[in-house]
Amino acid sequence: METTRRQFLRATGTAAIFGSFVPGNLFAGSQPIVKPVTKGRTLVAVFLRGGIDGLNLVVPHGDPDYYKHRKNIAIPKPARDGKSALDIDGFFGLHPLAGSLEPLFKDRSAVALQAVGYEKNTRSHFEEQDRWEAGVIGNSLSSDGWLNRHLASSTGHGSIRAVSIGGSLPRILRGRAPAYAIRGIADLSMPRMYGDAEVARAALETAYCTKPEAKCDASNELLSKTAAATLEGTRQLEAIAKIEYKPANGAKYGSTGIARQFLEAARLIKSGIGTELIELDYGGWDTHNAQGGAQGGYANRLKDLTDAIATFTKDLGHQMNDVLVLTLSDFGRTVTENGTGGTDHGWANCMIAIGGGVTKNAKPVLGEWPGLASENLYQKRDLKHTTDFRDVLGEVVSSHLGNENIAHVIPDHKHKAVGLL
Amino acid sequence: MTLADGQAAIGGISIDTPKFIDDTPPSLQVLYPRSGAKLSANGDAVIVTAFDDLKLSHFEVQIDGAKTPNIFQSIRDSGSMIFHLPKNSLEKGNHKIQITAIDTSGKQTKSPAISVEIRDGDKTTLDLPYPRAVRLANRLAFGQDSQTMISILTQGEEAWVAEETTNSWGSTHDQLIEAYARVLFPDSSENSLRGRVITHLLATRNAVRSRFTMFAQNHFSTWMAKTGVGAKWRENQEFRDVGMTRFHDLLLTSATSPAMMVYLDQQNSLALQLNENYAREVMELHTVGVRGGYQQSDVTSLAQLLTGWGAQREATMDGGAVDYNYRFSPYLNEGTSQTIFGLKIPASSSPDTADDRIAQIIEMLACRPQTARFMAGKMAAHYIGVPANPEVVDAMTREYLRTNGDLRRMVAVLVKSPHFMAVNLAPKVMTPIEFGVSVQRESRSIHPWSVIGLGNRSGRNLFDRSSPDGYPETNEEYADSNYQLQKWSFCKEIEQSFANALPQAQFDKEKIKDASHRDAVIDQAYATHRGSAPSSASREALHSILSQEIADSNHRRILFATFLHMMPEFQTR
Repeated sequence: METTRRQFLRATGTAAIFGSFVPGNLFAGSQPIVKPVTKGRTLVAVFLRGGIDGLNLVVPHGDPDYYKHRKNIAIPKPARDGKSALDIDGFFGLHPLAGSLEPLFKDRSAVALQAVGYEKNTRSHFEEQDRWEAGVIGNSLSSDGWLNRHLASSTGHGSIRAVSIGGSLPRILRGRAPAYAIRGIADLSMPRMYGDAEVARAALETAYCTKPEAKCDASNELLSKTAAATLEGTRQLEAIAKIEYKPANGAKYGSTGIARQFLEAARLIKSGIGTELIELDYGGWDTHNAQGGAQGGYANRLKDLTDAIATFTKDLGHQMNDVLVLTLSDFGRTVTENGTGGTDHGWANCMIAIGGGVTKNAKPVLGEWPGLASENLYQKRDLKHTTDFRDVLGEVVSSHLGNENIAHVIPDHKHKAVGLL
Repeated sequence: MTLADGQAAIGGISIDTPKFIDDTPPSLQVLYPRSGAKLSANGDAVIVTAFDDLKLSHFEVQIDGAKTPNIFQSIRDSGSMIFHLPKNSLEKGNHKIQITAIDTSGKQTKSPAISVEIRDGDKTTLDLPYPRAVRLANRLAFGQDSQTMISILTQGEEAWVAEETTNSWGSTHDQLIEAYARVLFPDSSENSLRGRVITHLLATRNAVRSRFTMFAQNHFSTWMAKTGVGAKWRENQEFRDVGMTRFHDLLLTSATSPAMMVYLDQQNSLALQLNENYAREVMELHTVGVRGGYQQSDVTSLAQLLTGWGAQREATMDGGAVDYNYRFSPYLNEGTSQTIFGLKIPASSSPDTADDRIAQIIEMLACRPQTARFMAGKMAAHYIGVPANPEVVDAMTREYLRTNGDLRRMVAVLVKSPHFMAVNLAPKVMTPIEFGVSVQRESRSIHPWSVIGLGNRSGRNLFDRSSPDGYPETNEEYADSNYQLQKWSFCKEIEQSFANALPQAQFDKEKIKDASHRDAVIDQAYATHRGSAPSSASREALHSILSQEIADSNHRRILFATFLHMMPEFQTR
């Protein structure tokens, strides 16, 4: 077994698993000096695909124009009746079905950022998800995900630094450094075949990871790195999967998909294998049609999400000091509801950050509020942005993840502090 | 064949029964290579048609009188068969090839000697028929299954491309597959729909058309979870029927598809109740592309123009199920004048002609040079790779504009391009569906359930892309550790089918101890399934698998067959 493992580590690209190996000529421009992360923390990034309507999540009930634009789908002013906004700071309130986050806002371990975006939004799902995932504006066709650039420009504390729970590896984690895409820990193991399992592993390592004699083309290099990550990852995760998981502090995860994803995230964090990045995909926010207000499809989806987050924070307990949950989405939605009881693709949006270092904030909702009066809207229809999303990502990379190569991870941007962390 | 007296025991009673005496040798015709042909020294093939009155046993391929090992023969009772000759069986120079067909009673027929030249191909562009056929099979079809390779090499590539791209759906064989698929997947669940489509992909004799149909549906991507199964099934049938055609026909197929109308909310976009979802995507993703020069005002104007165009739930006249049908409601159309791309479309003059305005704008979108370039780029990315080669894209764009968007002509241009036939063309990592389908076609197995499972577990199943941009064409998309693991598990799942394509005698415990025999097994497996030789790393890996102490030779065969498909060369096309 030892021989196999040594062979494996000698093989091409496998050193990249530990984040210390970055092949040359990767990035146009400056090559970062790979440094160890200064902190042992985890980021749980929740990508709300489809463009979540942030105005009905962190509701500006103090802005009278909000109610003028949304005749049918607005969340009523706070009234503690289960159907109205839950006040946070006298101006903003939470959607009533996001109530499980209320205690977290009360004890200042949750913070919302309003009016986050940037100046060149295309209102296209694919372009905008791409911007948020690449962390670069403009031509990002060959660009890696920003979370992957974090991995590639730093060294961490373990071999499985990044995992996406959901079944496919999202752009945000794609790039030179290995990251796993899994549905759950339990179903992750090598198939059992005739013959010796270690011989089988060694054979795959030989076939995929031996340095080729000829010029290696890009697709084979990719396959080689992927296979190396698969082989090493299954080795570790097979061990974790054998232990039955028991949530702590009386936390009870629901049966929804997103609750399962958060449970798997908690399990990974508590296993102590040094996982720094966990990405969860949670889609279904493209609410063009029959979005509903305090109740309806959007509200139910929001409840599933916020309940799962609250259970996760309860399960992790004091470990939440080292864990930051951050929501991201394509873009905000139109301030005015459309003709089919929904909202179309818009501009700026809100983000929610929970745990980690956010507790020191005095204000539960950050960001300058541009207002919803028609003359203040972008192109007379959308919420203007007052905070650049790259400033938020940059602060997470440097302050939370402890990566000193911020100009490399989020490049082409003059970083400003947003005061989140 | 003559009859002779014989005896048989039935239920313990001995009775007289006639016995067949095989005194007729097989008939044999060599279809490929023809005399004077140039074969590739890197590996090539022989194709024969043979029949016997009772049963064929095996074939021998002689080069200058010496037998080649040719150890994997997939013998059918009769008909056309292909035997792949690995690299090490071919020596450069002028040679004579002769084939002998032998039936089960030892009667033989020898073909005339065929003069061939065995040589190295050009260093930059594939120039010999066999490697070109491998490239065509992998890129235009679903891999190099026997039937596809036989068709290309015997018909000649131009005739083959012309025939495959013009064939229409509905042959007797197509109908048989359809009937079979409905038996296997009788219900109306999402996975049943996937199963029917995958069964067709596994069994079709027109893989070129089928691949294109899948490409077209990924271009005009809809998400079954939102469209519902009925609408998606009908959309799949529409695309299957329309096949490879003019782009305008595809665009119209999609634009009148209830699945698309439901998916992008167009069925709810009415006068005074605007929803611009479809209007944006039809420009951004289906025609001119995101940099196609449109503004927000063009999107809004197109959305206004399209109001009332969509789908409605209707019951069939005989009281059948309620489902979406395409419908245009002129009275729900915002009839005012609209300007799109600077083209002023006058106000609707009468409800009867309101949809003419929409037909006009669909035609206009199909005609735009940006659309030509966008489609050329997407097809080049699909068939050749990402990033799309700019010269190929230019040539295909010109052909689109010259032929009014004839996609068959664009494929012909693509195939003739030296980039398509480049020796060093970068391999393209297969999607889960491509992988599941092509490895099974090469082994002649039909396990649609396993492909559905692979698609589900890898998170990239058929018609399961939630965003309307369709699955990407990049290699990076298909290089994640979870997908890799799922592919390996898939190979294990259908190991028996893989093994069935390999003769068990070659995995005998004593025989396999000989390193040169192991080499021969590995070389023949790669020649048969990949049309190429293994890398030295893959060869080493498979040697270690074959050298294990395994008592049962069938288990060794199964293990080898599974591992073969787990090798890196089998992950790309």
